[in-house]
Amino acid sequence: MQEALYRQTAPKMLVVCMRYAKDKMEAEDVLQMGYIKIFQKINEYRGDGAFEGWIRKVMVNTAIESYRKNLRTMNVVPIEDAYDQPSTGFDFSRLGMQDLLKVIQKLADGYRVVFNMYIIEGYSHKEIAETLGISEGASKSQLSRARAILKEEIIKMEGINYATHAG
Amino acid sequence: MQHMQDKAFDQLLRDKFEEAEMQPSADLWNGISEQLSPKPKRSLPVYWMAAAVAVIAVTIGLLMPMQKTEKIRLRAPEVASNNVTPVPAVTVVKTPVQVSNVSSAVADKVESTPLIIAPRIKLSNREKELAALQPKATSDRPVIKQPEVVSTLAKVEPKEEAPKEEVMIAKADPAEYTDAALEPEHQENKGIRNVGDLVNFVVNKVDKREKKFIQFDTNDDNSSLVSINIGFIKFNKKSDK
Repeated sequence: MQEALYRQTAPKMLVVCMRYAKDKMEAEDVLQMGYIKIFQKINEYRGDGAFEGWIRKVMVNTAIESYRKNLRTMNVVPIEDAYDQPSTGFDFSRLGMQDLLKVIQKLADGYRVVFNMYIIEGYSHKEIAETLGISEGASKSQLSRARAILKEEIIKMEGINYATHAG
Repeated sequence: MQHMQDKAFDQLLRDKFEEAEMQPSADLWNGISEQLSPKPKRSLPVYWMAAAVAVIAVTIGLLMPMQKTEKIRLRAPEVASNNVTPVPAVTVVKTPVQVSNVSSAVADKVESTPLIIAPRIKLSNREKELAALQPKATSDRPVIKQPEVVSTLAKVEPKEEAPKEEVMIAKADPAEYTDAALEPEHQENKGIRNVGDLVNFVVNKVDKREKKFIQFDTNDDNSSLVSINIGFIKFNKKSDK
């Protein structure tokens, strides 16, 4: 029964973990920790709301916890990475999820976690600040830098893709 | 305007991850189920290791010179048994001293000593004679007395490497004589003064061999280790003499 639940939900949860991790190995470590927690705490699930939503929540919390544990090794972000890109229109149609993951995983750990929590999970800056033990201002500035880097990287990638397709 | 673009950008990213899936490594489930099922109990080695550690700790404790000067006052007469030393050369010297203290008046005190385990040996005539000739001992450090003692023993070689015969006597009776003799004469409440005394007392009761399991010199308040005999470990300070 446990295995069936795992088989059914793990592929989506791995994507969640991939967003928070640097690579697939780290993501699978978090995935494993998350499922162990899920099966240990499965009694706590009250049946309110979607079961998958509950699993996702546990998984996100596990990923954030893992980030916080690794915080001491967090790398300092080179300043040249963080500049604003002139805004242009985006064509995301050709951008694959895998490519996007690669770009996200290249982000500095601090940027990546704020990006995930704010943009994908929908936390407020206040919640992020409380969870990560940083100021709201830091959360905001990290988010805007993360966004800027992502835009730049995606544009670069689109250019490469375009060149490949054209050639 | 910038704000709107950010919102649109964020939404586009969210859409990319909507319903996205990736297949985890095939063996990941095995790792999870392994951690979920209770592990088999650890086998014995842990307990063996604990036992080994305990033995090592006790051994170290015994080997370290005892530093405690706390005095435990027990009025029991058997306390004086700390004067018993296992080494022949020394014991021989001691015996006459003790014998000398055992004057005829002491004999009945010997009777009343309750904790004597060692077999009692009646004083032979010769020994009584010797005893009478001896000056009263005031110190339980026997080495000083040696020349006199040896000289009075007519048939005994005057060397410190004492004859076997005398050693045997020494071994058999010191616990007895010293009990009665030394106690009233010099130290009313000598008692077990330190840990060394206590260890010697206990060891004497248990270990009747000539070379005790462990012996401490307790003349001063700081006991020092005199000898050890645990089969493979043998150590004897006094045998060097």
